[in-house]
Amino acid sequence: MNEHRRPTPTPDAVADMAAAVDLRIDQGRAEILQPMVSLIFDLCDSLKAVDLGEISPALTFKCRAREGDQ
Amino acid sequence: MTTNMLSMTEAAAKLRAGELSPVDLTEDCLGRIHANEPALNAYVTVTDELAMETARTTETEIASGNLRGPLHGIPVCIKDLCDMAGLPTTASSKVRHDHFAEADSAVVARLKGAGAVIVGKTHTHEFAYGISTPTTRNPWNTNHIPGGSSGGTGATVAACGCFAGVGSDTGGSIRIPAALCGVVGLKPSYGRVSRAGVTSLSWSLDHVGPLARTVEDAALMLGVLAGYDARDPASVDVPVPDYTNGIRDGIAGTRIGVPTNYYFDHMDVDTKGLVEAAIEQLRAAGAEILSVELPMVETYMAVQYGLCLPEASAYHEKTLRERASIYQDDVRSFLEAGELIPATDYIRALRVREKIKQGWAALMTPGTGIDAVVAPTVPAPAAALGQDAFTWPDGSEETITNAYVRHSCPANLTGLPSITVPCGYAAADLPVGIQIIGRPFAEADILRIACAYESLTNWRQRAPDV
Repeated sequence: MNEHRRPTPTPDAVADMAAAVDLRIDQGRAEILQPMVSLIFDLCDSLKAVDLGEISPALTFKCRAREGDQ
Repeated sequence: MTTNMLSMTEAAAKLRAGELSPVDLTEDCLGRIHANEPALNAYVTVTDELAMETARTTETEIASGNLRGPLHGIPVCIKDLCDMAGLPTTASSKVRHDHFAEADSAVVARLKGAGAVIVGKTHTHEFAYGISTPTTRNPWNTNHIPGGSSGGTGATVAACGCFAGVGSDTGGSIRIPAALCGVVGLKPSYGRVSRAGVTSLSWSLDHVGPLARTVEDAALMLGVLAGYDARDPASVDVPVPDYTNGIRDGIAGTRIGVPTNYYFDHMDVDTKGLVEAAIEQLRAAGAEILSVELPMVETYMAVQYGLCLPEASAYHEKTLRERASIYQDDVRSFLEAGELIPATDYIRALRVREKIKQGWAALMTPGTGIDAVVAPTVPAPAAALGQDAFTWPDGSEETITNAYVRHSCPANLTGLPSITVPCGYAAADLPVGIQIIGRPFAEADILRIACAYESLTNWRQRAPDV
């Protein structure tokens, strides 16, 4: 069992989080979003149980601007 | 001449032999599209005039011996996420009402270069963010969804509006509609087909690829679509083979893994029976069937959502703040929720994804591992319009989105190529498929396996009566 689960967000918390990223949503939208946000946070928290060690994320960034550049 | 039961390969042979003209072929397809549109609504735009103009040009070219290749003069469609110069790219969204493409996307440029006749742009679930394509109907039963997000392409290819089409696949959006509409769908390896000029859903999961009525047709399409493109940061410079070479070499000795976990846990009984029968046919054709346990299955959906949601929200950041009210409700909610995922969660999902990729690579180690995984493409046939969830035999419920994406997302997370091929008809006479997942850039291998299975069945002799 993962010990580091976020508390279930309330609609007010959802509205506050949205405001923090400059996304203006009214109370009605916050109430609609709350179950989805809660579900997504649960999914994200479930990944905390994976032992990742020093593994790096898979990214597609390439430092060369074009093929053949040094 | 009626051409609806011809494959692209067969039509191309008749064009070469002068037994069929691109003009007649295009007129025939456009006629079927217009006849079917009241029932299917597969298209955002049908490009009648452009298509006929191209058909006339190709007719002259072919008659004068300038055959460009197997797609020359062949009617195809493109998903309306792909830019085509001079036409709107709506992504089936009101948000894009003022969006016109100034240049061709890489895939459209490649199709035009191959002499294909583009007959129109097909509906997608809004911005490819869903699996039902609510604008469009399933040609096998219009009371059911066509799947998505490339639902328009799946529906029109199945209903013989054109011979093949382009789709995109972030969590199954080529393979789900292909399976639910009874056609072949190929999600290539990540980086195999350029996404330049294609509206993104999730940069790290997006793939572009073909839907077609036969495996060989999908191979021909991929041969045209694939290739390196420096404009797409994910594009990989790997040579493009002739994917039809060796496609009929059979599968004797091919090591095929059948998962003992994940895929068969929650499935419709009819669909499961059809998939199991297909696996037995592969065994009878000489494949070595091995039971395999897939790695880290408990993380797949969390990583899929953990990557797709924030990436999609980043893409839509500006328009969500300017035009939120004109997004469809489901897409708006996903976009708003994705804004709230912390960067640390996103990075964790990327790291878990790397571990998943390593686990699959170990499973498919050349020489000692399996050559491919075979699994059901979908856990059930097409959901009915308005249906929100499936109830599985054990009484549990799962939303239709999670059910379909669950079966597709392993190939998106790993970037491995995956092809779906029809494997029969479940309840209500609705089609389903098996998917074959291969090693990175081993599209030729999965095409060979799919072709071997297809040659043992007669599913493609059936066509929907729209």
